[in-house]
Amino acid sequence: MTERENKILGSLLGAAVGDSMGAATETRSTDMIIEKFGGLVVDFVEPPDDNLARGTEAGVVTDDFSVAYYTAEEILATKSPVSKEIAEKALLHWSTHPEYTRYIGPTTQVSISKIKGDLEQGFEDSRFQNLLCNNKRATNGAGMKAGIMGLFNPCDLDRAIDDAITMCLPTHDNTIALSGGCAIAAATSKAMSSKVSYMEVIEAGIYGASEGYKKSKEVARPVAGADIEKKIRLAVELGLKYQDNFEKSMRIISEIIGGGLYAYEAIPAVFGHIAACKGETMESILMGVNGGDDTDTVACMTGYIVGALNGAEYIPQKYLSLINGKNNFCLEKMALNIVEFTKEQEKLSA
Amino acid sequence: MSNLYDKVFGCLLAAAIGDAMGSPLETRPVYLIKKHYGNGNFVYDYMKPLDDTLGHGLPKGLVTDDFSVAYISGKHFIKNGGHITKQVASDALVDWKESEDTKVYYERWCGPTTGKSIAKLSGVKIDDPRDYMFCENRTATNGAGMKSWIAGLFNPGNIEKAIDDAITMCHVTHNNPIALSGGCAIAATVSKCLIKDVTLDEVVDAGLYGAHEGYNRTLRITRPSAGASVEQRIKLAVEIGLKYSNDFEKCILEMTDLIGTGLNANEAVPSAFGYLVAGGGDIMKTIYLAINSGNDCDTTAIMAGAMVGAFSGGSDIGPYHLKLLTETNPFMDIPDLAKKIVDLTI
Repeated sequence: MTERENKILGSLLGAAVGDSMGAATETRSTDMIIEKFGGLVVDFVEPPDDNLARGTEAGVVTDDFSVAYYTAEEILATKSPVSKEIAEKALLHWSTHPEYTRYIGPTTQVSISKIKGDLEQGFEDSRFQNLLCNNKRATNGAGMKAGIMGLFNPCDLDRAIDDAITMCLPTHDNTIALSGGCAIAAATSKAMSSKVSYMEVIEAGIYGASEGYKKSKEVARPVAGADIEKKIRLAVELGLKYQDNFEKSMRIISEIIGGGLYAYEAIPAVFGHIAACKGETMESILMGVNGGDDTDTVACMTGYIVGALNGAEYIPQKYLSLINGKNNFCLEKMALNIVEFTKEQEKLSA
Repeated sequence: MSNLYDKVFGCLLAAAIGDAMGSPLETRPVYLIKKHYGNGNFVYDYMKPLDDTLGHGLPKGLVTDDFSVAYISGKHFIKNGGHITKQVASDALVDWKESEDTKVYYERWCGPTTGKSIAKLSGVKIDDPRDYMFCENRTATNGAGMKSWIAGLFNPGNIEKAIDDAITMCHVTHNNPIALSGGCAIAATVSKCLIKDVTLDEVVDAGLYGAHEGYNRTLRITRPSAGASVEQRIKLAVEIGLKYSNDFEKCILEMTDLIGTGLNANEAVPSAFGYLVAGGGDIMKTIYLAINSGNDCDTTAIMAGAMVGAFSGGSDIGPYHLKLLTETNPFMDIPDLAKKIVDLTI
């Protein structure tokens, strides 16, 4: 396996593992996770019957990874970089899968209805329709899927950022959500480089948040909310300060940064976890799984980055067959196809 | 005029000012407040709401759900001899929703968590598809903090009782430990502020204690919820407020970028504390910091206003404010409410 293929497979697998492991812990706090599962979760566990994943088996991914997966399939089938049409087509295809749409977030839900033309569907309070800024939409749903744009644009941060905006604009038409998406895409793109350090990858994430915000301001709606770039810096500071103490660093990041639905919580938490765990693959992912609140999304985004940084061999082999088997995926084949795609694209632009 | 009356009056008036001044700016980020309202500068007065806000079409100086629900609750507590019970808190909510002179506030602004709870109180059955879930993280909102300061006024200097009363009052709508942690932080602080010659350090300590106790006392009686800690974020917000107390713009930017002033209790409540210390007891400076923060800035400003008003007293607030607010919001008679609260507490 080439280095690129190994990194892409590691990234896809890391994201899928983080997402599906987190599906069982999602919505609980760290204390509640410990109470429910008899300690921190360090391997796949069956989802409990009182969270969104009830009734599914361990290893099944949620909306987070599946939206990205279907978008990647659409890009590969079309043999073209992501476009608005590809992103929307992939969303509609994805939306026919009830096993994934059960998790659908508030922002994606409204957007899919709009793409379908169901404007009448009153998902939202009518009082919000005339608002310039709908701050409830500054969610992490762009970040959850934008990591894959880093794989389609290895070591090319600016293209990864542009593609992340194109991919996420149909659902997350606001500056903060897109800033978060670009942070994850840029960090993943950087993690595709040879011999890159976890601190360089974090720097790329900060660059992505900042550039993503600036570029989104030109094309997306304004919203008010905390600043992802600044919060990443704070999260990383906290992670580094308590680097040798897994639980302490995880808890302080949850308490101060948060790990919730908003992009300015979940995305900074990802970088805090990577800093706290020195970029180590499973440790970083497990910090996302156990940090509480929107754990599947945090761990999924972390998985893209650290999976690409370290390659597939840092994730237990048995997880690949579990993920493939439970979801009817073939991540090895997808990794190979993305490698081919990126080579074609590089030839075209050379 | 007694010292206590001045503080209670100051709390009510500064809360109303913060709410009414913040309302038109609500939902915008800082740079768009400057661009669309301040002609490039920050805003230091009541504005007429723009068409793309929740208050569109309404006059300047109108308060929102925040102040009106707290005020009506206060009236009901007085009628009950100052005793805060679940029943009285519930009656106040229904009264607020249905009365001719306050229902506009409900219709325009009632938040998601309060709205559902009032519907349930009125006997409407709500099937929530998320009812099976162990945690409900979407109700960790600032709707407890926006009104709980009134419970602090009924308990001058008695922080323990202020915390318990805030829980009783707000549990009706906010069955969530993070929301109630925020509510208790504000109520405890207002209670502490009513003590003569208290310092800002002491009232912030009371707020941290309220956040801590509010969380712990409600953890086992509410629906569980995960989210950032109100207490830990207050500490960071206070640090930011102290660091930038002499730089108005930097203070707002650091606060909104790192803490946030959004719908969640773990954003708006900590920021209110940050502005309380940054303002150093100056009522209007504290309110100006909060309203120019945007996002849920009317709620941030009502909480910051209630705290600084109780701390500094209302005698230095210009007569312009009371006149405009009373004319625009006929349901309110702030001096009368203040007098009745004081009569009950001494």
